[in-house]
Amino acid sequence: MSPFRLAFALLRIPRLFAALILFPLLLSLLIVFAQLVLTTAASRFAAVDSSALEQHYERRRESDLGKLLVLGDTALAPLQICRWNEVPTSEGLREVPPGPQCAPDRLDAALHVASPHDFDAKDYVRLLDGWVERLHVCKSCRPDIVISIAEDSIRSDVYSTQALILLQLSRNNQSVQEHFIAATRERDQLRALTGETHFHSVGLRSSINLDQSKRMLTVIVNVAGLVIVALWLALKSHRKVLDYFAKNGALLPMVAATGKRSFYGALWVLTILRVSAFLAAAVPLTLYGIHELLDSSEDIPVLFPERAELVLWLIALTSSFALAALIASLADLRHRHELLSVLYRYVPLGFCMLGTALWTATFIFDGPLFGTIRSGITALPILGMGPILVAPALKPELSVLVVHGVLTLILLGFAVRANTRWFAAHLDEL
Amino acid sequence: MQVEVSCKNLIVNYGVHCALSIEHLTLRGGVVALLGHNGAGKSTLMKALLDLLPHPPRSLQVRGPDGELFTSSSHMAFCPETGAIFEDISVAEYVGLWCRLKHHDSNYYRKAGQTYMELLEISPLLRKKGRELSKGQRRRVQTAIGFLTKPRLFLIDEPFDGLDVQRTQELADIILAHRESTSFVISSHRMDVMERLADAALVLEQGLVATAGSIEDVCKSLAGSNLLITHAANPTHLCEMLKAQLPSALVSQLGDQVSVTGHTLDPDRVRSLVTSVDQNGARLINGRASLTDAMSIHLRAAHARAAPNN
Repeated sequence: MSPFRLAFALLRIPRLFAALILFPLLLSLLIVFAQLVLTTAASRFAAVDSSALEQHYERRRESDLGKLLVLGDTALAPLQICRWNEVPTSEGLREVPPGPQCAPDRLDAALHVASPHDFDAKDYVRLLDGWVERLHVCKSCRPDIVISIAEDSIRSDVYSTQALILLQLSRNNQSVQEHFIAATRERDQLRALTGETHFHSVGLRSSINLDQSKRMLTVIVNVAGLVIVALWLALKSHRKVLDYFAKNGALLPMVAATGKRSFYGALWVLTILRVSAFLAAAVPLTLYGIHELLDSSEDIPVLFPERAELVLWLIALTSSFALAALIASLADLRHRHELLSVLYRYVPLGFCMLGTALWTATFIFDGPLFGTIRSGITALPILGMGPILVAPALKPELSVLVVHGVLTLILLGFAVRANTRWFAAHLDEL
Repeated sequence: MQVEVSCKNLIVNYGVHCALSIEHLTLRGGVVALLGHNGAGKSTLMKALLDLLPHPPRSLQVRGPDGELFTSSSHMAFCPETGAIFEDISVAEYVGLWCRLKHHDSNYYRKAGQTYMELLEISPLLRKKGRELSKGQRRRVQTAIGFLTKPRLFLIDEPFDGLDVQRTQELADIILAHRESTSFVISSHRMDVMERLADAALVLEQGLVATAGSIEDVCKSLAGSNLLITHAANPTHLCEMLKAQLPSALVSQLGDQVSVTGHTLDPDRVRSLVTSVDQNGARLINGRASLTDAMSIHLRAAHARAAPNN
């Protein structure tokens, strides 16, 4: 029986299609999308300069969503200060507003002070002007924002969500924004004095442009994310499909009826379908996200001027992650009956972290020896995974990328050939 | 239909544990019973026949009456002890999947396969999801699927476990009705049913072949000779006396008859014992031990052999 026939027969059952293809695909795309949004936001935030900040604050002043929701689009009148008076009544002293124009409204603010007529409220006027209509200075009145000022402490009590939004907005008012813009402008001027920063170190093919590396890291994170999710779908999900059959007791009759070769072939067909569907949807999404992230003058060719570097990096990165995932998966399978089997999954990660730590340490010391050690660590499978990940930003020698890729592919082939039977480990147990 | 199961130096290990070790075996039969205690190697042998072991033993072969070599994917069907059906799809979808795989038509069971659906009462289950079925119903579904795929050899693991008398009878009848076109290898602890169905048996003990052959040969090999005592005046009393006097034999009362089975049975001694308590014409007939008795003796001996090791 053809593995394709078996795979497509399984997928023609809607529930199996959803469980084997659709849900993992949607989950993977969601992960990639979330990663893209987060990295893009982080990169934009890190790259902001004074003019961008100015434009941002200008846009917010014109159309801040929180302000629109609470106050609408009309500007408020200048803040009115209402100092409340105490009048005698049959029940004792009672606080009243100074006139009908000071009748308290929900979205007003109040300052609770011991002596309303003597309190200097000019700092609070600076804070709240433009956000609330009236500032009541009283002992016990209660609009939705109440700021209690004692001799040794100050606290705010907020009684509605709208009031909370107003208080938060008022803390980041125009004066604060102008200070931020001024500070950013100052930083930009200082940076302009030195221009772009290029870091040179032994063992690197060329200098590292630190100003460009932030954008490069965003590209790296997104491409690495694609590779990791695709590998997760390929390896982890291959086990999931097996588990799905085994859990339902359908594995043995199905394998017996179709033949082992066809059945496992069908599993790989399903796995390839999952990965292909994921890549078909996620690669354009990621490319679009990266393109949006880059300035119009920049493009991927600017980040990867040498096409060979991009290809070598992708090969080294994919084979490296594949080897790590395979070792983790096999270790997990081979030791699955042991109490601490879960720890075996993290062995490659542990080696990767060790390699990255050693590699980082070589930057502290100078000299050709440490450059050689750095290149040696990068060239090694698993140990060099971290340096390989950031290779486009840190520009190791191309020969190091080649050696890493070749060694990793050899080890990968060896690991697959030597451990084929563990992929059918379920059959041992059923 | 008769098949021939043969193998040479078949060894299956799970880690350091030897699950199966068969030096030489040739067994012919239409319905072959796989018998033995729990853990004797029955399921492992079934998996080996179905080519489900990670390292398939090449010497193990099943051939049809015309000498054709059977393969699991082309000639065999299998129903595991638990039955098999995906929990989250309906029985109709599951049966349809098998029909699509084996007959290129997911509606085959509604057309040519209706007989099996009715015999095993699957039609009322078609709309149910796998998780809604009992263990017995799951097994019925997988058994029906096995018949629907028209196998030359159908391997069934514990088909009668948990079935009531009526369902056991019905399933046995279905198997008997198909024995002309299909061979069966059945693993079971229900000796009474297997005695009725099987024409050959393979008895395993700790992964080794205890005996194999026709049911008659197997019974004789496991239990030795058998004497049936009829017309006893007081069969209960006679039975108790024989149990006390012949501790190595299996003595059982079947209505007004008493059966004595054992490897070291001396007919003259039994006759004199019977005469000593019953002088009114009790008769001794040379019989054959039932499969139930034979397996009782075998399992008792197997436990005794295993006890010193434990």
